[in-house]
Amino acid sequence: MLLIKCPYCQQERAEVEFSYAGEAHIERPSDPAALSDAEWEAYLFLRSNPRGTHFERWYHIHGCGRYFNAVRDTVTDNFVRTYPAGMPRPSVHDIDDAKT
Amino acid sequence: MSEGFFAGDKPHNPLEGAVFAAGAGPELQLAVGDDCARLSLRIAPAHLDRAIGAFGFDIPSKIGEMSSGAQRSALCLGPDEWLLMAPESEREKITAGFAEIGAQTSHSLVDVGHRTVAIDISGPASAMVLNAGCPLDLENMAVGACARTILDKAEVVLMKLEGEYYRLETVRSFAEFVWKFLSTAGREFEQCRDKTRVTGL
Repeated sequence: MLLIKCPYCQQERAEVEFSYAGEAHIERPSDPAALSDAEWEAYLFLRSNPRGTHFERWYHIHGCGRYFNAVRDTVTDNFVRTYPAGMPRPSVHDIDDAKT
Repeated sequence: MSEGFFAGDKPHNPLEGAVFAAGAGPELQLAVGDDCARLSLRIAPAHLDRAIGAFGFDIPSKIGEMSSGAQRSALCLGPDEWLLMAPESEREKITAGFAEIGAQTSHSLVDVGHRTVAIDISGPASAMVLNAGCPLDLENMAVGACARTILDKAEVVLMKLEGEYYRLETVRSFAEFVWKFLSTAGREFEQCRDKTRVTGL
Protein backbone atom coordinates (compact mmCIF):
# COMPACT_ATOMS: atom_id res chain seq x y z
CA MET A 1 0.00 0.00 0.00
CA LEU A 2 1.27 3.48 -0.86
CA LEU A 3 1.87 5.99 1.89
CA ILE A 4 1.00 9.57 0.96
CA LYS A 5 2.11 12.56 2.99
CA CYS A 6 -0.82 14.93 3.45
CA PRO A 7 0.55 18.52 3.44
CA TYR A 8 -2.17 19.61 5.87
CA CYS A 9 -1.96 16.72 8.36
CA GLN A 10 1.86 16.61 7.95
CA GLN A 11 1.70 12.84 8.28
CA GLU A 12 2.21 9.90 6.00
CA ARG A 13 -1.13 8.15 5.73
CA ALA A 14 -2.32 5.08 3.87
CA GLU A 15 -3.57 5.38 0.32
CA VAL A 16 -7.05 4.06 1.25
CA GLU A 17 -7.72 7.34 3.08
CA PHE A 18 -7.24 9.29 -0.16
CA SER A 19 -9.05 9.72 -3.43
CA TYR A 20 -7.45 10.67 -6.77
CA ALA A 21 -8.84 13.82 -8.35
CA GLY A 22 -7.23 14.21 -11.78
CA GLU A 23 -4.46 16.38 -13.17
CA ALA A 24 -3.48 19.51 -11.20
CA HIS A 25 -2.93 23.11 -12.31
CA ILE A 26 -5.74 23.17 -14.88
CA GLU A 27 -7.20 26.63 -14.71
CA ARG A 28 -10.81 27.26 -15.66
CA PRO A 29 -10.96 29.90 -18.43
CA SER A 30 -12.27 33.19 -17.05
CA ASP A 31 -14.58 33.72 -20.04
CA PRO A 32 -15.71 30.34 -21.43
CA ALA A 33 -17.99 32.00 -24.00
CA ALA A 34 -14.97 33.57 -25.74
CA LEU A 35 -13.35 30.18 -26.36
CA SER A 36 -13.48 28.22 -29.59
CA ASP A 37 -14.86 24.69 -29.48
CA ALA A 38 -11.34 23.31 -29.78
CA GLU A 39 -10.08 25.38 -26.84
CA TRP A 40 -13.06 24.37 -24.69
CA GLU A 41 -12.51 20.73 -25.61
CA ALA A 42 -8.87 21.06 -24.59
CA TYR A 43 -9.88 22.52 -21.23
CA LEU A 44 -12.49 19.86 -20.55
CA PHE A 45 -10.95 16.68 -21.89
CA LEU A 46 -7.32 16.89 -23.01
CA ARG A 47 -4.79 15.91 -20.36
CA SER A 48 -1.02 15.57 -20.53
CA ASN A 49 -0.83 11.87 -19.48
CA PRO A 50 2.98 11.92 -19.21
CA ARG A 51 5.37 9.06 -18.72
CA GLY A 52 7.32 10.21 -15.67
CA THR A 53 6.68 13.30 -13.56
CA HIS A 54 2.98 14.05 -13.21
CA PHE A 55 1.28 16.87 -11.29
CA GLU A 56 -2.00 15.67 -9.87
CA ARG A 57 -4.70 16.43 -7.31
CA TRP A 58 -5.50 14.20 -4.39
CA TYR A 59 -8.29 14.43 -1.83
CA HIS A 60 -7.74 13.35 1.78
CA ILE A 61 -11.36 12.30 1.93
CA HIS A 62 -11.14 10.04 5.01
CA GLY A 63 -8.83 12.40 6.90
CA CYS A 64 -8.70 16.17 6.97
CA GLY A 65 -11.10 16.45 4.02
CA ARG A 66 -8.86 18.71 1.93
CA TYR A 67 -7.64 18.69 -1.66
CA PHE A 68 -3.91 19.03 -2.25
CA ASN A 69 -1.45 18.59 -5.10
CA ALA A 70 1.17 15.89 -5.54
CA VAL A 71 4.10 15.23 -7.85
CA ARG A 72 4.14 11.55 -8.70
CA ASP A 73 6.30 9.56 -11.08
CA THR A 74 3.91 7.55 -13.24
CA VAL A 75 6.59 4.95 -13.99
CA THR A 76 7.73 4.15 -10.46
CA ASP A 77 4.53 5.28 -8.66
CA ASN A 78 6.81 7.22 -6.31
CA PHE A 79 5.33 10.32 -4.68
CA VAL A 80 8.13 12.88 -5.06
CA ARG A 81 6.39 15.51 -2.94
CA THR A 82 3.00 16.92 -1.99
CA TYR A 83 2.02 20.55 -1.46
CA PRO A 84 -1.14 22.48 -0.54
CA ALA A 85 -3.64 23.37 -3.27
CA GLY A 86 -3.20 26.89 -4.61
CA MET A 87 0.60 26.82 -4.48
CA PRO A 88 2.49 27.22 -7.78
CA ARG A 89 3.77 24.22 -9.66
CA PRO A 90 7.18 23.19 -8.23
CA SER A 91 10.11 23.85 -10.55
CA VAL A 92 12.26 21.08 -12.03
CA HIS A 93 14.95 22.13 -9.56
CA ASP A 94 12.55 21.69 -6.58
CA ILE A 95 11.52 18.27 -7.83
CA ASP A 96 15.14 17.13 -8.23
CA ASP A 97 15.86 18.36 -4.72
CA ALA A 98 12.91 16.42 -3.33
CA LYS A 99 14.08 13.25 -5.11
CA THR A 100 17.50 13.28 -3.48
CA MET B 1 -42.81 5.02 13.58
CA SER B 2 -44.63 4.09 16.74
CA GLU B 3 -41.46 4.07 18.82
CA GLY B 4 -40.43 7.48 17.51
CA PHE B 5 -37.03 8.19 16.09
CA PHE B 6 -36.17 10.23 19.13
CA ALA B 7 -37.30 8.61 22.34
CA GLY B 8 -37.69 11.73 24.43
CA ASP B 9 -34.61 13.86 23.86
CA LYS B 10 -32.37 10.92 23.08
CA PRO B 11 -31.61 9.81 19.53
CA HIS B 12 -32.01 6.18 18.58
CA ASN B 13 -28.81 4.25 19.21
CA PRO B 14 -28.60 1.04 17.14
CA LEU B 15 -26.06 -0.36 19.59
CA GLU B 16 -28.15 0.19 22.68
CA GLY B 17 -27.80 -2.85 24.91
CA ALA B 18 -25.12 -4.41 22.66
CA VAL B 19 -22.77 -6.68 24.60
CA PHE B 20 -19.46 -8.01 23.35
CA ALA B 21 -19.73 -11.62 24.36
CA ALA B 22 -17.67 -13.48 21.77
CA GLY B 23 -14.19 -12.75 23.00
CA ALA B 24 -14.89 -11.06 26.31
CA GLY B 25 -11.90 -11.43 28.54
CA PRO B 26 -8.89 -9.53 29.75
CA GLU B 27 -7.53 -9.16 26.18
CA LEU B 28 -10.29 -7.07 24.71
CA GLN B 29 -13.33 -5.17 25.88
CA LEU B 30 -15.84 -3.48 23.61
CA ALA B 31 -18.45 -1.15 25.05
CA VAL B 32 -20.97 1.28 23.66
CA GLY B 33 -19.82 4.82 24.53
CA ASP B 34 -21.98 7.26 26.43
CA ASP B 35 -24.00 9.81 24.53
CA CYS B 36 -22.75 13.37 24.66
CA ALA B 37 -23.17 16.67 22.85
CA ARG B 38 -21.07 16.75 19.67
CA LEU B 39 -20.66 19.88 17.61
CA SER B 40 -18.80 20.28 14.34
CA LEU B 41 -17.05 23.67 14.21
CA ARG B 42 -15.69 25.35 11.07
CA ILE B 43 -13.91 28.63 11.65
CA ALA B 44 -10.90 30.46 10.20
CA PRO B 45 -7.78 29.37 12.16
CA ALA B 46 -6.94 33.07 12.70
CA HIS B 47 -10.10 33.40 14.80
CA LEU B 48 -9.51 30.30 16.91
CA ASP B 49 -8.94 32.40 20.04
CA ARG B 50 -12.52 33.70 19.81
CA ALA B 51 -13.79 30.13 19.49
CA ILE B 52 -11.78 29.15 22.58
CA GLY B 53 -13.46 32.01 24.45
CA ALA B 54 -16.92 30.88 23.34
CA PHE B 55 -16.21 27.22 24.10
CA GLY B 56 -14.65 27.98 27.48
CA PHE B 57 -11.91 25.41 27.00
CA ASP B 58 -8.71 24.97 25.02
CA ILE B 59 -9.09 24.05 21.33
CA PRO B 60 -5.93 22.64 19.70
CA SER B 61 -4.69 24.22 16.46
CA LYS B 62 -2.75 21.26 15.06
CA ILE B 63 -4.50 18.50 13.13
CA GLY B 64 -4.59 15.26 15.10
CA GLU B 65 -4.38 16.90 18.51
CA MET B 66 -7.06 16.73 21.16
CA SER B 67 -7.69 18.67 24.34
CA SER B 68 -9.78 16.93 26.94
CA GLY B 69 -11.11 17.77 30.36
CA ALA B 70 -13.93 16.71 32.62
CA GLN B 71 -16.58 18.89 30.93
CA ARG B 72 -15.15 19.60 27.47
CA SER B 73 -13.01 18.08 24.77
CA ALA B 74 -12.00 19.37 21.36
CA LEU B 75 -10.49 17.47 18.43
CA CYS B 76 -8.73 19.15 15.52
CA LEU B 77 -9.74 17.13 12.43
CA GLY B 78 -8.78 19.45 9.58
CA PRO B 79 -7.10 22.80 8.83
CA ASP B 80 -10.29 24.65 9.81
CA GLU B 81 -12.44 21.89 11.25
CA TRP B 82 -12.94 20.81 14.84
CA LEU B 83 -15.17 18.38 16.71
CA LEU B 84 -16.30 19.71 20.08
CA MET B 85 -17.69 17.40 22.73
CA ALA B 86 -19.29 18.02 26.11
CA PRO B 87 -21.97 16.48 28.35
CA GLU B 88 -25.52 16.86 26.99
CA SER B 89 -26.33 19.37 29.73
CA GLU B 90 -23.66 21.77 28.41
CA ARG B 91 -24.96 21.95 24.85
CA GLU B 92 -27.11 25.05 25.29
CA LYS B 93 -24.32 26.90 27.04
CA ILE B 94 -21.87 26.20 24.21
CA THR B 95 -24.25 27.11 21.39
CA ALA B 96 -25.16 30.31 23.24
CA GLY B 97 -21.46 31.14 23.58
CA PHE B 98 -20.90 30.75 19.84
CA ALA B 99 -24.06 32.70 19.03
CA GLU B 100 -22.51 35.65 20.88
CA ILE B 101 -19.38 35.73 18.70
CA GLY B 102 -21.43 35.08 15.53
CA ALA B 103 -21.93 38.76 14.79
CA GLN B 104 -18.18 39.48 14.57
CA THR B 105 -16.82 36.10 13.48
CA SER B 106 -18.37 34.08 10.71
CA HIS B 107 -18.26 30.40 11.53
CA SER B 108 -20.43 27.32 11.36
CA LEU B 109 -21.40 25.21 14.36
CA VAL B 110 -23.42 22.13 13.50
CA ASP B 111 -24.89 19.76 16.05
CA VAL B 112 -23.82 16.28 14.87
CA GLY B 113 -24.58 14.45 18.12
CA HIS B 114 -27.63 12.63 16.80
CA ARG B 115 -25.78 11.14 13.86
CA THR B 116 -22.89 9.78 15.92
CA VAL B 117 -22.35 6.66 18.00
CA ALA B 118 -19.26 5.98 20.11
CA ILE B 119 -17.57 2.65 20.83
CA ASP B 120 -14.92 2.16 23.51
CA ILE B 121 -12.21 -0.40 22.77
CA SER B 122 -9.77 -1.38 25.49
CA GLY B 123 -7.41 -4.16 26.45
CA PRO B 124 -3.99 -5.36 25.22
CA ALA B 125 -5.51 -6.60 21.93
CA SER B 126 -7.29 -3.32 21.12
CA ALA B 127 -4.67 -1.98 18.68
CA MET B 128 -4.42 -5.30 16.88
CA VAL B 129 -8.20 -5.58 16.53
CA LEU B 130 -8.50 -2.00 15.23
CA ASN B 131 -5.66 -2.62 12.77
CA ALA B 132 -7.75 -5.41 11.25
CA GLY B 133 -9.48 -2.59 9.35
CA CYS B 134 -7.65 0.65 10.15
CA PRO B 135 -4.35 1.53 8.43
CA LEU B 136 -3.05 3.91 11.13
CA ASP B 137 0.14 3.08 13.00
CA LEU B 138 -1.59 2.78 16.37
CA GLU B 139 1.45 1.57 18.31
CA ASN B 140 3.26 4.82 17.53
CA MET B 141 0.20 7.05 17.93
CA ALA B 142 0.61 9.38 20.90
CA VAL B 143 -1.78 9.10 23.84
CA GLY B 144 -4.22 11.98 23.52
CA ALA B 145 -4.00 12.04 19.72
CA CYS B 146 -6.96 11.71 17.38
CA ALA B 147 -7.54 11.16 13.68
CA ARG B 148 -10.36 10.85 11.23
CA THR B 149 -9.60 7.71 9.31
CA ILE B 150 -11.22 4.61 7.89
CA LEU B 151 -12.12 1.26 9.45
CA ASP B 152 -12.71 -1.25 6.66
CA LYS B 153 -15.35 0.68 4.65
CA ALA B 154 -16.59 2.98 7.39
CA GLU B 155 -15.26 6.45 8.15
CA VAL B 156 -14.47 6.84 11.84
CA VAL B 157 -12.94 9.34 14.22
CA LEU B 158 -10.44 7.55 16.41
CA MET B 159 -9.09 8.83 19.72
CA LYS B 160 -6.30 7.22 21.72
CA LEU B 161 -7.28 7.98 25.30
CA GLU B 162 -4.76 5.72 27.04
CA GLY B 163 -2.10 3.26 25.93
CA GLU B 164 -4.62 0.47 25.44
CA TYR B 165 -7.85 2.41 25.42
CA TYR B 166 -9.35 3.83 22.25
CA ARG B 167 -12.61 5.58 21.53
CA LEU B 168 -14.08 5.37 18.08
CA GLU B 169 -16.91 7.54 16.78
CA THR B 170 -18.84 6.70 13.68
CA VAL B 171 -22.12 7.65 12.09
CA ARG B 172 -25.18 5.83 13.34
CA SER B 173 -25.91 4.00 10.09
CA PHE B 174 -22.41 2.45 10.17
CA ALA B 175 -22.51 1.62 13.88
CA GLU B 176 -23.87 -1.89 13.61
CA PHE B 177 -21.36 -2.75 10.87
CA VAL B 178 -18.45 -1.31 12.87
CA TRP B 179 -19.54 -3.17 16.00
CA LYS B 180 -19.79 -6.48 14.16
CA PHE B 181 -16.49 -5.88 12.38
CA LEU B 182 -14.70 -5.31 15.69
CA SER B 183 -16.47 -8.28 17.30
CA THR B 184 -15.41 -10.55 14.44
CA ALA B 185 -11.82 -9.31 14.50
CA GLY B 186 -11.79 -9.78 18.27
CA ARG B 187 -13.12 -13.31 17.98
CA GLU B 188 -10.40 -14.29 15.50
CA PHE B 189 -7.80 -12.99 17.89
CA GLU B 190 -9.27 -15.00 20.75
CA GLN B 191 -9.26 -18.20 18.72
CA CYS B 192 -5.61 -17.75 17.73
CA ARG B 193 -4.63 -17.14 21.30
CA ASP B 194 -6.62 -20.01 22.75
CA LYS B 195 -5.01 -23.03 21.10
CA THR B 196 -7.20 -25.55 22.91
CA ARG B 197 -10.27 -24.10 21.25
CA VAL B 198 -8.70 -24.36 17.78
CA THR B 199 -7.57 -27.95 18.24
CA GLY B 200 -10.90 -28.85 19.79
CA LEU B 201 -12.76 -27.99 16.58
